[in-house]
Amino acid sequence: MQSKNKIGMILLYIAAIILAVVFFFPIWILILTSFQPSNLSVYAKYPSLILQSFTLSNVISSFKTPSNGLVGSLLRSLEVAFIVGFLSLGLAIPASYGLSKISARISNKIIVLLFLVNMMPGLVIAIPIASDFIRLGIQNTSPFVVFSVAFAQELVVLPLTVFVILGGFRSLPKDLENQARVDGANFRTAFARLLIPLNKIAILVAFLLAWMTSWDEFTYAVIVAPIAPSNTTFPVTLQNYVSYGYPLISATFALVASVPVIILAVFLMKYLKGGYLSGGLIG
Amino acid sequence: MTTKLKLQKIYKRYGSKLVLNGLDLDVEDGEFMVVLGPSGMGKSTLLRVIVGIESLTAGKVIVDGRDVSNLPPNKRDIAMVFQNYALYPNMTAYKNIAFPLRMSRMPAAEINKKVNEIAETLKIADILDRNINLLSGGQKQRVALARSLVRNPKMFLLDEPLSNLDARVRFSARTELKKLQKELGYTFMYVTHDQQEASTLADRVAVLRNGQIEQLDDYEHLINAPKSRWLGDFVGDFPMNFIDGKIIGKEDKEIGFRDSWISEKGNDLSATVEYCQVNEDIYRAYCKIDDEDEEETTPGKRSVVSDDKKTSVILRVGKRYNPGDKVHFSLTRYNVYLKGLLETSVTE
Repeated sequence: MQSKNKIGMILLYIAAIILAVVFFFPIWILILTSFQPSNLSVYAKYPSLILQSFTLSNVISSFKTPSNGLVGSLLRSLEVAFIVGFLSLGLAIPASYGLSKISARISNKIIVLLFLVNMMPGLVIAIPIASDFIRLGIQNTSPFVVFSVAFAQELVVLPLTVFVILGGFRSLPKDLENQARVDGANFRTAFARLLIPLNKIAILVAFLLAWMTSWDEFTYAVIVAPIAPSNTTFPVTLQNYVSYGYPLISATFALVASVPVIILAVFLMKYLKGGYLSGGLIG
Repeated sequence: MTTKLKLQKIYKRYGSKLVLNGLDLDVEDGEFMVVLGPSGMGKSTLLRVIVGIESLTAGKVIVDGRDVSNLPPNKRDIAMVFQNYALYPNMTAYKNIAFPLRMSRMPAAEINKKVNEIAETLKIADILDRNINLLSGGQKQRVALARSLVRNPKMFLLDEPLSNLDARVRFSARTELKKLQKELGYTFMYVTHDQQEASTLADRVAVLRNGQIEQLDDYEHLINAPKSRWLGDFVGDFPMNFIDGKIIGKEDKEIGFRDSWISEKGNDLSATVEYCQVNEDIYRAYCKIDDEDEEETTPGKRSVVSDDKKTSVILRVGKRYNPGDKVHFSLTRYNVYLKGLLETSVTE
């Protein structure tokens, strides 16, 4: 029995290592491309998988792109991601609180309804949205474009954030809020002093999920924001640079952009293991 | 004494189920009122309606002469201890106790003084800075109690606050609770299904059944003169015995008597012992009443009446009986019930 368990563990670790290598491989290629001269990476006939020389010239030249280029779109992406993140909290916290108050039989159906958007191909939804935004004139004017992209992305993100926060609310004992009311707190105080702090991890997870989804979202960004350097978010700009023939610059910048996502993903892992994703189904 | 809480024709409906059905109840100032009832009879709902967490379908809740039926819980100034204590898990014991005071915008210095005072009274001063998740059941119960006591509300509602404690802690908590209530002169309304708690704590006991108060009395009266057959069955450590009235010459009526209301000197009645239970020096015999007709049949001949149709009774007897033995006894005291309701109490 003991040895059987041991073999099982070893096999599990081997599988985990293989999986990790598969996932890490693209990032390694990215690193190789970013920090080596082009003749060793993109223009080599048989590029090596080992780092052979080290240079920062790619990094430097990628940050020297015109102001509306990569740096500009990176900042725009940041803006969009934070708008999406905060907007989803603003909408999902009240929505999931309300859903947690009605019977699970009904609220689960509403959740399914919310996810309906995610079941359709993005293009089907993005094109009508884009045409509406054009009509409203918020599509190609610079201060609005950030919001129009954010609103479109919100559509995809919101069901997920509602689901996660609802799981948090449902896992709280019902009597806690009642007790706070009995102890003299009005609804707003009970919400701010008790329900939000008790649910902070679910809220944080929801925010980060929204932020990350927006950060590398492509379909809505490319359709809703017209492809002009002053409008596009980072993933779209990156795609442009690749097709314009700047693979080195793009690779470097993709690496730069991946770092925050990787850090967030590692940070999130701890919480995603918890009941926050399944919590929404209980009851 | 003045009336602290007055409930007038309280109705509460959940869907098609009427949980509270026109309930009337007065609680006096400084009284320890225990609401006793089997599970699922709406005891908790009653408290929730009084405190304002659940809305009333109809009726009035009057506290200190003021109709609070339509006020939210935070405006009613009634404290409640929930069955699971509902302590705030994101706060320390101190902050839990201080929460009601902070809600009433009391200055911090005064809060500090009051919390320490109540913690001293309840002997929890040493655990104030602990996270409540690290407390034992008894400590949690004290913190919950302290949180309700600290703000000096109009009255207290307690929803089976001792049911989550182990037997020994429960016993000491019970006596302490009673002492505290009497010393401070608070009005308590305490919900339980535990007869022992009702008998030791209550000034008066209200028995809840089908959304109404079946009887409101002190515990002794409930035991001796339950107003209905159902109450006789429900109240007391052992159910009241009920036998057909015609055995002692009262046609169409039922005779109810407690296990101790018998004398083995007489022989008006006889019963066959099924088994005998010994509890310290008290012997209780679980018997089937012998039918009068059966008495006349010759011994050894099997009775025509099958055993499960015979009436079961529990008798407190003077010695150990073996299964199959006959007990001869007469009643020293009994209640007469007509159609399930008390008619008279007779002591012979």
